[in-house]
Amino acid sequence: MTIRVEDYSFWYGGLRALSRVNLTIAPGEPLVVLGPAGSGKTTLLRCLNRLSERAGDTRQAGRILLDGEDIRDLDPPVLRRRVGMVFALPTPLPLSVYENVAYGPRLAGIGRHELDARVEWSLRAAALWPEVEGRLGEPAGRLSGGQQQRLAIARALAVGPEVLLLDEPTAHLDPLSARRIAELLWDLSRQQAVVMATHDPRPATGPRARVAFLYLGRVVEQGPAAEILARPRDSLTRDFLAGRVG
Amino acid sequence: MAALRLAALSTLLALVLIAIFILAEGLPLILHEGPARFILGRRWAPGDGDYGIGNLLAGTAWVTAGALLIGVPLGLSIAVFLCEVAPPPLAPFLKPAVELLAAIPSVVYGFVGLVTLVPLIRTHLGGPGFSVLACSLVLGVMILPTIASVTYDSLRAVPSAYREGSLALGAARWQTITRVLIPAARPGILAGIILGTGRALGETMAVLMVAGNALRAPTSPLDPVRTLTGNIALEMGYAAGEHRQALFATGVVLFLVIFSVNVVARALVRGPSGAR
Repeated sequence: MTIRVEDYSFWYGGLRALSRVNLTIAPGEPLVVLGPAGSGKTTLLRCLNRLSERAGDTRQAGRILLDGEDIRDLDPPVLRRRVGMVFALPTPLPLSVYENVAYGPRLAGIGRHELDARVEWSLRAAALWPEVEGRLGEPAGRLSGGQQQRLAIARALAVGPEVLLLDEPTAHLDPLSARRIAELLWDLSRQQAVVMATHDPRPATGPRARVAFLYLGRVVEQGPAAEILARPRDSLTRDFLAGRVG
Repeated sequence: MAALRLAALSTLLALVLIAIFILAEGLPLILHEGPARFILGRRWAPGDGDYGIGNLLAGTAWVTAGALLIGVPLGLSIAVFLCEVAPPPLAPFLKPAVELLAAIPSVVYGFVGLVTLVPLIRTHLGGPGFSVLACSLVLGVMILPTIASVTYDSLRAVPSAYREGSLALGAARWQTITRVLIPAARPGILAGIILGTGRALGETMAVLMVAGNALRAPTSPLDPVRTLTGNIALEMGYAAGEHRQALFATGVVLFLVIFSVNVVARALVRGPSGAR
């Protein structure tokens, strides 16, 4: 499963948020979209599953292809089952831990007898199972921030997405929880395509990672993380990494 | 601060004074007749000294249930449409229009019901036209703005992260509405329904004009009906002595019914709302 972003631009009303972006996202090579606040990272992720269209007065040019198929030709719910998303602020649905994870599979028509196994598998994959095994019926809002973010990952995984988008998944977490999430993501990225948006270069240093540095809606440069972070070619990237641009 | 406290206390004082007044006027008759005979008695004949409000209570229940049957689904649908479906330029015009329905005097509703609904029901469905159905339709529209407006505000208050979380998991918009938004807004929606119920129970003028005001308990939606409030309004002008006390006693029952509805509403709103 590959996503190709081809010459893609996106506007909110008259404001151009993305400008002729070209990217390729493939399994095994987690992509880290790096950039300061307002650079278009979130918009890019939301364009990949068409949540961006909810903003109302929007316009786009170029194409985003999911295995060669233009995502505009796909029904949004079908697309979003294939391209899952985890948001910056972990906000579980106002349901129990179990129901949060079962929500997506149930919509996808997974039967009750399969559901328990699916929920357990997802919670294990998100490294949350040992902590919630005896609390599945509890309101998800009672979990800690780090647990809620792993729950968000579990519920996204439960749908069986081919691509997982993560928008600043560690931004609101303490350092320990943030590290656990980052490690979990690198593990997950072995099996499936993962795109993570972040303004913090530290989590971008995982193995096999690629980095695309975004600035004012434009991809300034992209390549293997080790290369971009150690020897950025563009002065903007250098300034950002040195903390001179934000 | 003292003035504000006084203003707040004056509300409580008004409530207490009203309660004391109607209790003082109505309670003696209830005690004299016996609460069970007064509330469950089927015969209201002040000339014979019979004061049973059973049929009036049944009439009020029929009319209120009918109004809710019409007003709740319609009010919820309007709120969901305005909040989740209506194109952004449309909602700011439609919501005030719905709220304006609440500003129309009830006598106007009654009049419109009288000249349109009553003949329509008589011609097409039979019966005298003055009926439970006419009352329910008029009241259903009258409680719409309350239910729609409170539900709309509750839906708006649901964090957008719930919407996006649901959509991102592959839910269609209607699935997000039915499985996440409405359950999350449930306390507010219930509050709106209860407020609407209170309005339906207490409405007098519009009901009076289309009810037919027969003293029998209705057995079909096409039967004429008399409600507790309608009865008080109809007879207070000429009632005296025990008859007048009986009308106040009817007021006591109405007061208790509306009070109970509010207590239940508060309990529901505060109670467990799923796993939150």
